[in-house]
Amino acid sequence: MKLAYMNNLTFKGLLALALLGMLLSSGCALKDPGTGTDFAKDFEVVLASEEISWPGSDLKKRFEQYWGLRFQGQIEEIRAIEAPYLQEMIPFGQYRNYMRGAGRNTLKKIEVFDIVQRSENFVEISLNLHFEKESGEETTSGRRDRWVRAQDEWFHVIRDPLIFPATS
Amino acid sequence: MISWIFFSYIFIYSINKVENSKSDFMLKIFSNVAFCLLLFLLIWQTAALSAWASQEAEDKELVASAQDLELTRDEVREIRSFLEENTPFRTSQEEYIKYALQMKLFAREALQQGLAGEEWSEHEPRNPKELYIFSDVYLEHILEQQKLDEAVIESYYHAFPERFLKDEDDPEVQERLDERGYIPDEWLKPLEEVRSEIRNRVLRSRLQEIREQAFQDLKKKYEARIHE
Repeated sequence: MKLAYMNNLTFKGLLALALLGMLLSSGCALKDPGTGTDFAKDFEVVLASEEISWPGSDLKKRFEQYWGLRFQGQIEEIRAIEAPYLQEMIPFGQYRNYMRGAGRNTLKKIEVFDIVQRSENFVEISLNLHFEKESGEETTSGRRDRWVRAQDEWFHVIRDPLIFPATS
Repeated sequence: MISWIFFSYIFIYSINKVENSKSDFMLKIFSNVAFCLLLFLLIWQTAALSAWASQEAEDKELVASAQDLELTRDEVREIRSFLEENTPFRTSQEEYIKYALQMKLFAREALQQGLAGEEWSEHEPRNPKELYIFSDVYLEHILEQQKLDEAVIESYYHAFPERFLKDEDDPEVQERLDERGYIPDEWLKPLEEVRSEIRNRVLRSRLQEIREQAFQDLKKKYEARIHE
């Protein structure tokens, strides 16, 4: 009787621990489907209209992960999400210089106002980044983000003819 | 040489004349002038000879060496002229020496490995142009040996659909490109058809790094060193 009671208690304890773990992992972090890199998501991603939709949930996760890590200044982690050809063509030092400043501002919101599927494996996303500068000033910056799918995984694409002419 | 003979003749002739007619004042002056000129020529030619000899020694001076391979200052000068004539490439003398050594090592490796064809394996490059051609053969070989992940090729192919169109002159294709529309996979050349082009583009962007690594490997293999 006592043993059965103890077993029941242990089972309940383990169940409570598992539930707590699940709650913590779902509430505080997103897990990358590809690289397994965790990041704290403290910004929101909103679609500007109901006509816009993500081509798939994998891209949305990857997109959120990239921008989250980028605003945290995690250079090595975001480099791993850049397209493999970019990783091959752009030396790490050059990439790090390019990303200098990443992590200084705090991302508040990403407003997506267009998602264009240019081909089966290439997507262009027009967006506004809403962030807070170190000074506390709130700023918005618009850009066209590009994503490519290779080996069933989405990767970010940099097109900067001035800095990286060979890859643009 | 002609001037030497001419002045020597005048000098000897005038001395004879002076000795034969001691009173001839003009001849005395003439012989003195001829002597001075001869002396001047002697000094000038000695200086010129010495400069030539020192230039000769400098040209033959070894600036780098490796197993069974030597690089002289003269060869570096020839290679430098060749590069300056044929490329927009300009750099310091130290870099030219390094580049010349690299060319010689690459060319030798290409010839020894029979990369330029077995018939060339015993050939010794005779001029900078030959050196350049054979060194390029080795560089191409090195590029072919580079391993690239499939994801690199695939991501490049998909990131630039507009570069791999089967028929980019088709008005329908043009219209679609202009309006940033959807490009179906059927409009693209097959990946296999453009694989080597992509590989080439990717590797060319790292050419300097690949070349430098190959150079360091050969320097080690042949114990090459640049003399200070």
